[in-house]
Amino acid sequence: MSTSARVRAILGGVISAYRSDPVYQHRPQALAELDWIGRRLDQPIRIALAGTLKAGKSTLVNALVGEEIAPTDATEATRLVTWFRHGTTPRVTANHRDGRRTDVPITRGDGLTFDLARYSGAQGAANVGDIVDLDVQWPAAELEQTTIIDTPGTSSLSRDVSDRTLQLLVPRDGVPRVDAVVFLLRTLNAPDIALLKQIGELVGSGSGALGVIGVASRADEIGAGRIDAMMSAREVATRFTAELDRTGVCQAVVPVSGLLALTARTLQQSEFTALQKLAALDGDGATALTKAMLSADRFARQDDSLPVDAITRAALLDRFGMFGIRIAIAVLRAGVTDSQGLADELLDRSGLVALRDVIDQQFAQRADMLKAHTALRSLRRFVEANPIYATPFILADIDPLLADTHAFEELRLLGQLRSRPTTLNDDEMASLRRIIGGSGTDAASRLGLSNDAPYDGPRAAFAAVQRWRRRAEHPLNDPFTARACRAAVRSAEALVADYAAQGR
Amino acid sequence: MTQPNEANPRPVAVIVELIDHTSRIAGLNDREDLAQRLLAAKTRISDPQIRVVIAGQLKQGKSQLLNSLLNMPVARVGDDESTVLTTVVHYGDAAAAELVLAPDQDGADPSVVAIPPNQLSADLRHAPQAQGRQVLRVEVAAPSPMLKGGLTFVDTPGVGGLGQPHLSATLGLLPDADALLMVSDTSQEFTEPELTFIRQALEICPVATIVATKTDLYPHWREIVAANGAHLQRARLNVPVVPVSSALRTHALALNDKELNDESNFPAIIKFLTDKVLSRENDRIKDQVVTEIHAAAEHLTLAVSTELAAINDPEKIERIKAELEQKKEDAQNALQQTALWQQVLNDGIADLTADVDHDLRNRFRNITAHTERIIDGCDPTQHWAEIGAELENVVATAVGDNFVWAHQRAEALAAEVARTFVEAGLDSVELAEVRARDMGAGLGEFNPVARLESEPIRAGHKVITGMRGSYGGVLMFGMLTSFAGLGMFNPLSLGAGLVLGRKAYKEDMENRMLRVRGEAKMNVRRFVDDVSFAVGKESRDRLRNIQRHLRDHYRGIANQTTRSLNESLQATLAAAQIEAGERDNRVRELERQLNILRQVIDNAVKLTPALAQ
Repeated sequence: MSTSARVRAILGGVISAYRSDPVYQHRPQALAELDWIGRRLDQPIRIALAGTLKAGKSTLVNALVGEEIAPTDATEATRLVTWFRHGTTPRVTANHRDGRRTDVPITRGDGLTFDLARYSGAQGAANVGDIVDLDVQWPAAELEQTTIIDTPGTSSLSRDVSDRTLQLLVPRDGVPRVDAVVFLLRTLNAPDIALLKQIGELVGSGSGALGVIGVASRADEIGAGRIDAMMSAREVATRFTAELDRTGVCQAVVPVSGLLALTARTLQQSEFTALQKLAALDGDGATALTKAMLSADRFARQDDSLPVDAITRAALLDRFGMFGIRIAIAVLRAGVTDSQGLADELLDRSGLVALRDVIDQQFAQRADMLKAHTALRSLRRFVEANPIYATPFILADIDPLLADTHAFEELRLLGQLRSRPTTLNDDEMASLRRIIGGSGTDAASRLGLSNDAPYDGPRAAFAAVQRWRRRAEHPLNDPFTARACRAAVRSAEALVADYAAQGR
Repeated sequence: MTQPNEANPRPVAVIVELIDHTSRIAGLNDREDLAQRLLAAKTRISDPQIRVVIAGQLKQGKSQLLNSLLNMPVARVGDDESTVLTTVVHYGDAAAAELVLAPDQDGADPSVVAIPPNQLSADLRHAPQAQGRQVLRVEVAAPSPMLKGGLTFVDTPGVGGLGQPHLSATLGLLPDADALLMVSDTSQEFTEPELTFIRQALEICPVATIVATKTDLYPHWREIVAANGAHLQRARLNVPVVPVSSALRTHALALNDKELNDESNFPAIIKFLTDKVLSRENDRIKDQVVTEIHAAAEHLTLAVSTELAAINDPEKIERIKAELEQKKEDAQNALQQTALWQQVLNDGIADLTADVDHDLRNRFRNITAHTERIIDGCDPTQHWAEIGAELENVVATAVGDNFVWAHQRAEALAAEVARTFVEAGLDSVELAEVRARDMGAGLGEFNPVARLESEPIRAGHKVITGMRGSYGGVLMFGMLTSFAGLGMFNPLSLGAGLVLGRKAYKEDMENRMLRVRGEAKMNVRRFVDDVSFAVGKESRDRLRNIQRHLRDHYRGIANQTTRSLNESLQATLAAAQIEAGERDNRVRELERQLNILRQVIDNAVKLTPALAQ
């Protein structure tokens, strides 16, 4: 029985318990809350993007969705927590503190802009402080599987803005509002790490940060926009990973340039043509271009020696950034001839592909488990807050599930096996990865059974238990290897127990 | 390209010449005490270090700024956090680098090890030359023409990272600094810690500018600079913001392209350094040195002119003698241990120590109370990291504010001591001198003794700001580092409750929560207590040091005054016994000396407008 199914079963029991309790029959909102917890299990996984002020969160939202739906600006732009969900028609709703919901007018420019300043102008300026969060529904394919939450930056000069984020990520009542967090870092600073630790305790399992991915954001700027900036960014990200791994708050840090990724995903033919013209320059023109690419100001100012006019260049700069332009010119000179090729190349270099892979591995494949975990925690708090005669029994059902974090341990190990040295040989490594669910979580793929010998399961599972138990006791094991082997033992034991339960 | 050293208006050569003349006469008159003071003044004026501290958060381009300013790779740069040690860059004929090592267990003085300059690009914290001792800072000599005028740059490690989370740590370096370059890049607006730091730093070091770096990379840097300007205005901080691009400057120097250099806006920084820093709009050291010369010259004039008067008019000898005796006594009474200025100093320091301590305690008490309220309102195991980070932050800010406040109070106290010393001490001596003049004693040049007086007023500044390279800065740095990491510390988790029986669980949970809260509060108190212990010790030491400096300074002046009067007395007695034949020679010699001294005094007055009044 999968965790998710068990959670549903518990939830069903709880709901019927509350329905039959006379006290709660007259309190529909309590039942509605239970319903809501249940519905969450079927809804897309909620991933929040968090980080310090100006870390590039909104830009990354746009890059992930592939459309400019989160407003960005040079100065502090995001002041409200904004939920991006899938919807058939674009719609923006503001949730007020008193529970009211109002529609926010949408202006269509290049993408979506919902001008809160204008909105508050119409509704009275006091209202913005009154808004809890914004809810954006948007018909984007990327949002079907995930709900993305954009948050205001921490350590903002205006305290209440930072507080909104903290309330979402580390709510005082301990009920997680999100299932997973992508944390954007520009430098490793102490407040960020402190916040990461807290998030890690709340999201994923209680014993580590499975639901958290670190992103070395604005990666193109780490190397000051040089052509090898992404290489530097990768090194920096590796160091971040090492330091965060030591503190145990986050599994992987991926360098991403959100701006470049967004531009690559929304590259327009006119932009490609303009860049192509610039890249095709040679002789004096090329020298002029080199000089123009020295600084942003130079690139955008009037200069007749370049074939593209200043307004277009300024627009390019806005879309690509200095690094983007340099890298695009280099890519074009290296022989890319069509806009699709350029877009692919830029997307690859932006690091977004790698980030999506990690998100897929860490979040999407485990969405059910993360959601189940969130639901359990919410349910537990609900039952404690609304006690009925069955409360102790319900808690007794929930707590073992919350405490059973072996599934999370497996996933943590899968991540770490890639980067940490062990004393295992290649063959052992392959079968270890398999047994802890590296190639699928059903019994057959864990044991590496082929389809034509399905009855071999119990014996193979038993053999695996013995094998890994022996391996775990090998005197030359380092602690990490021993830990991995013990996890394998436990996975194998679970298989044996499952077979026994099936009576085979 | 403009180099700022041309504009250095400090007339070092003239001042040194004045010192030489005066000390020669001091030698002739056997006044080695004055000669020594002049020598010290000479060392100070010919050591023209002007310290510019470069501060800022991590990865803002501090070291890159320095390198491209000097056009020399003196500071370590890289894409990751690179500057790990405070780097002091001063002028040298050839490039050289030294590590300053912490004293080892035996308590020996910090020692210095030379390293090859090409090693500067490496992480020097664990350089083999250090032989396992802690490296305090790196000193780099660079043959850059810009440094010739005495500029010394102090490049600080970026703060905000794991090892060094608080900008306030840099504050300790500022009392020594003549100017501050606060670096913040144009990728984003000021953050809260940055603005706090700017506010605190400006109180200690008013000569400052904010350098907004990396304008080449960010198309929207103008908006950022404007937003920062608005933030500063809202905080009522009056400090200029200079947007620059180190990358453009580097290219400009490589290509020798003036237009690029103008675009990099480095000329604006150089202008700031030239106009505000090198010109020393408030050049305290020059003023002090010139006043020193002035005072010494007047001490000598006193002796010389008394002797001259005695020789010229032997009849008056007895009267002059009696007056000098009287004055000597007055001076001794007024200036020695029991004098009022001593009381002002002792009481003042005692008050200040108590006040600073109280201020710190008060700040910490509020912090503790506030944090405890927060702990009571939540589950500390869930929010500990947040609480810890917040606590560290407010404690660091409180320590910084307390430091700034103590610094200002100490300066005020020094001024007060100086005032008492002059008014109640030297002026009372001068009273005697007024009487003497009334009697027509003809000691026309006696006035000068009261002159030496206007100097101590500024000495207050000197004593506090003059402890160059003192431990103060280093200690602040080290102290705050050692307490960082509270946020990483966790009280026992509530999760342990799961092993308990179901029934006991709920009650136990409540007890457990109480215990965890108690534990969290105790941790907070222990942390605050540790910090206040270390900070208290440091600030008491600093104040005691200031007291010692002030006391020695004024006692020295008092002794010199008494000695000058004494010497004059001796000279008067000697004059009585001079043979008639030698008399003319002696008169000529004394007149020559007097002439030189008058010129020295004239020049000194010209150099320092304040003396002319």
